[in-house]
Amino acid sequence: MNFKKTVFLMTIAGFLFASCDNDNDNEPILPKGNYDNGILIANEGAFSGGTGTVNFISNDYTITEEKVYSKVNNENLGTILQSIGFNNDDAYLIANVGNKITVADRFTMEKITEITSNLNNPRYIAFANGKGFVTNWGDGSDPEDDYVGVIDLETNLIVSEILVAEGPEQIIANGNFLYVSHKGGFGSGNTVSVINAATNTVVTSISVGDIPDELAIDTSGNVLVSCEGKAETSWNPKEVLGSLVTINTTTNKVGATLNFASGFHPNGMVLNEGSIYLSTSNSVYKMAESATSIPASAIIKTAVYGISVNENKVYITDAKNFQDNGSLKIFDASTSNELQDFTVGLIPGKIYFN
Amino acid sequence: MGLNKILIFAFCSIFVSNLYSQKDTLVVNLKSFSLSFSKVNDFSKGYSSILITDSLITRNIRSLTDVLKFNSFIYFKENGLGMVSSPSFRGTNAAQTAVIWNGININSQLNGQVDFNAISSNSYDNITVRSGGGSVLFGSGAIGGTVHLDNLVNFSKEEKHKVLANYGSFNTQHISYDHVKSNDKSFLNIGLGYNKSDNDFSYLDSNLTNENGNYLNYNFDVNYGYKLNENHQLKIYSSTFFGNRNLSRTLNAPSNDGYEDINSKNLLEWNFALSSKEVITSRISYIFEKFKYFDNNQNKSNFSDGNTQRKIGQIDYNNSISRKLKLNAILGFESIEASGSSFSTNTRNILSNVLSLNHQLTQKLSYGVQLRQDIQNDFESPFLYSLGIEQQFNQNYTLSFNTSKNFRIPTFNDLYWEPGGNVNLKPEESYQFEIGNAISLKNISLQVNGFYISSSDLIQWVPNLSGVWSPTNTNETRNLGIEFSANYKTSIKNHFVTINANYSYTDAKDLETNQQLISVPKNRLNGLVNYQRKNWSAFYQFLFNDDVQFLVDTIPAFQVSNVGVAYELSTLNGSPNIGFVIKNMYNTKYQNTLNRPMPGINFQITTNINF
Repeated sequence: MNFKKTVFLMTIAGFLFASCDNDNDNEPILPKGNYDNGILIANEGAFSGGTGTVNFISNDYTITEEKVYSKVNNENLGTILQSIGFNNDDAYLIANVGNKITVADRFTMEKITEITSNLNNPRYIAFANGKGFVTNWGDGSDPEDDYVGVIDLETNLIVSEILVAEGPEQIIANGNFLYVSHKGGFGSGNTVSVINAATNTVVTSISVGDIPDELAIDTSGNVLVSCEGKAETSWNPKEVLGSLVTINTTTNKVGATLNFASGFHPNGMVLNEGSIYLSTSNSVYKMAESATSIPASAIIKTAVYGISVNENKVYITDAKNFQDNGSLKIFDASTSNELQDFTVGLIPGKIYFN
Repeated sequence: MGLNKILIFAFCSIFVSNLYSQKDTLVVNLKSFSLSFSKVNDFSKGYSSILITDSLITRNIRSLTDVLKFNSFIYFKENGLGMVSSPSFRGTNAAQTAVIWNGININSQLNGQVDFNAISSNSYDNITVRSGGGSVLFGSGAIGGTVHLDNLVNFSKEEKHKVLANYGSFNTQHISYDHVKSNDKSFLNIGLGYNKSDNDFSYLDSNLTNENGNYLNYNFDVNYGYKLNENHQLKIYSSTFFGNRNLSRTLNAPSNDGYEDINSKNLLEWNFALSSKEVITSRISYIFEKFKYFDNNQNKSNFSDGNTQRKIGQIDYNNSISRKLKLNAILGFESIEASGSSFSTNTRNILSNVLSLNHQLTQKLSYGVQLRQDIQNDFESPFLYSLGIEQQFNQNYTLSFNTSKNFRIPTFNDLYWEPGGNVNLKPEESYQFEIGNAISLKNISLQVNGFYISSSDLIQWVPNLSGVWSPTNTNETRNLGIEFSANYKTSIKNHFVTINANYSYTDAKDLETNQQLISVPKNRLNGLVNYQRKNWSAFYQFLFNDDVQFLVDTIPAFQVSNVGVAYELSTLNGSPNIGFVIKNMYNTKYQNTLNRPMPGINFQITTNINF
């Protein structure tokens, strides 16, 4: 037997062996792409002429890669990567100033298509009833040009626009209904709109606290809204308290409002396994969903620009001075111990899990 | 009102002093007296400056950015061709270069900067770029250097008309008209200008074009002088600019923004010669600027705006005590009012006191000392000084030294912007040292200057604890570098050649982070070769701009060249001059600011008629 044949047979055997192995119940799941099994960080990038970028960090922290979308596709995402939405394997990367949504495979980051028409200052996206819904501020000071664009997911075109109140920010799907927080553009909003995803119409508008931002669905199926309120400053002499508002999704009425203490104005909220994580610019607080007051002390003291929680770990980005690359810190959610610290891109705003 | 009271007081005191000084009125020479000009020349010992000649202005008439980027040390952060353009001089920031119009600092009261694409270059007889701090003479923001725009009023018989008409790629048009009529008693100069461009060039190596980059602007200028008698002259300077621009896209984002602005500068000046040595100049000035910014230029009913009004009164006393000793004292009062969408109406009053002395100690050694103390209602203003010494070693070599303390006061945006404005800001302070060497030989002159600038309490906008962007006095920087300029002139028979070159090396550091400052090219070089023979003239100009850091990105270094040829039809009436210019002749792909490409090769036809 010559050497070549041996190699060939060994390869066949290896293949057969592998095939057999694949039939086992405890088969290893093959990664769906280079960016599976890890964390994606959306960096906003420079406002003036810059582009948003995506960093990848593998779950075992052995692989870190910057600008993954640009590397794979040899093009840029556009100015200010505001957020990313996921629909099955498709990632919708929203460039706010760039007025562009790039659709890419979330695991390979290969570009599928892009949406550039009928966008005007897009912010966040959610999916319901087989459609995508993207919030658009329009001109941040014009109350007449705000809408939620409806994306046909087959064609990836915006097929209709649902006019809404000023400054639609975050959007979350609850069954066939969408909840939109009206942060208020350059001004300040205080409502949450409810949209019927089947009819593309606004069902109702719910008054909440000032500057509602983050949305989450709790274990009882209520929508939680974190409202920043307004800090007391020289240009705003009267403080408006921040609050956590619970919306009963059956009645679409406010079920409960938990006002925060004076000086507490959250910039982030995450709901994870029965706990609510609230962040300010320099602290993270943790409370049970059922709690009726925010805890007096923070679990983590660090600069917070973006926050997310996954599998008992708290992920926090720090935009530093907004001129140099920011960082991602990972903490143990139980012990609050810092586990890792990575340098990521310019103004890292959002953290997602693949 | 405070302003009126102070002005009345000031005028009264002049009249009183006039009575006392009448008696020694002898021969008065006010003929070529230009106050703002004399500040740059007489009271700037140890500072170097570059005078931009008429032909250079004509050649780059489109905007002041174009004139200066090829002929001075200043790097321009031009946000796309014709868009908002702010300077960086000696590595300092955009608000640390002051623009002085006929002696008056015209930096924006809102952001402290000057948009060099919102100043017409056909409006001025002299444009001078002075390197180094000059806050004592020129006020807030004169840290990296100053750019002087001067109109000259001459009482000599003259009548002339000048028409410039240029047309170039991207439907770029310039038309200007300049008229002077003067005699030994009066002087009148009227100027009109018009610039327009579709500015829709294709980006090189990209399928994008420069969308939404079209601009249009007009300017209207009147300068008038009247000689009441040998001792009294009245002068009026007025310059108004209207701009209407869309703000162009970048490689990473489209744009539908629009911007409209008006600025008007008006000055009444009265020169009164008390004696052959003493002149008192009183000045009243009214300056306003107004802008509207449109987030969507299709919907012009929705905009944000800002406007400022400035009223300035100055008494400026000059005494040439002897040929060797000159003294200048200025008492000034300024009242500024600003209002806009992002802040409520606010006023600021500034009283300024300046004392300058220039002394020719020996035939070869001279020095100048200047002191300034402002009094403001908003905050305490630092005491400023400047000292310059010049030693001429021989006919060919002069060594100079200067040191100064300069400042920049917080702008209305810094103090009152909602949200974020911080009323507790202090002025930025800056110390600097400079050594200059001037060598002048028969055909060549060289100037080498080394500078060191240390600035503290720099105002920087950063997010505060509640996440709102707010300015604080945080940064400390240190800039050092070298400026080298060379001018060479020669003629052989009918061939005239001039060569100018400016090179600068700048090392600018943030002392907190120990990093290089953003938007500062380390090396910068520009050069010009002019050739003339009889009716033909030709030029070649080039610019090398080093890598520029902008946040986490680098704008790559580039080299760009223009070439032009012109012919004067001397046999025709008015000797029209017709020329052709190739801009960016090597079709270089380059950017001045991040991801805002500049055009590739493009062309321009120029005509110039004097009659």
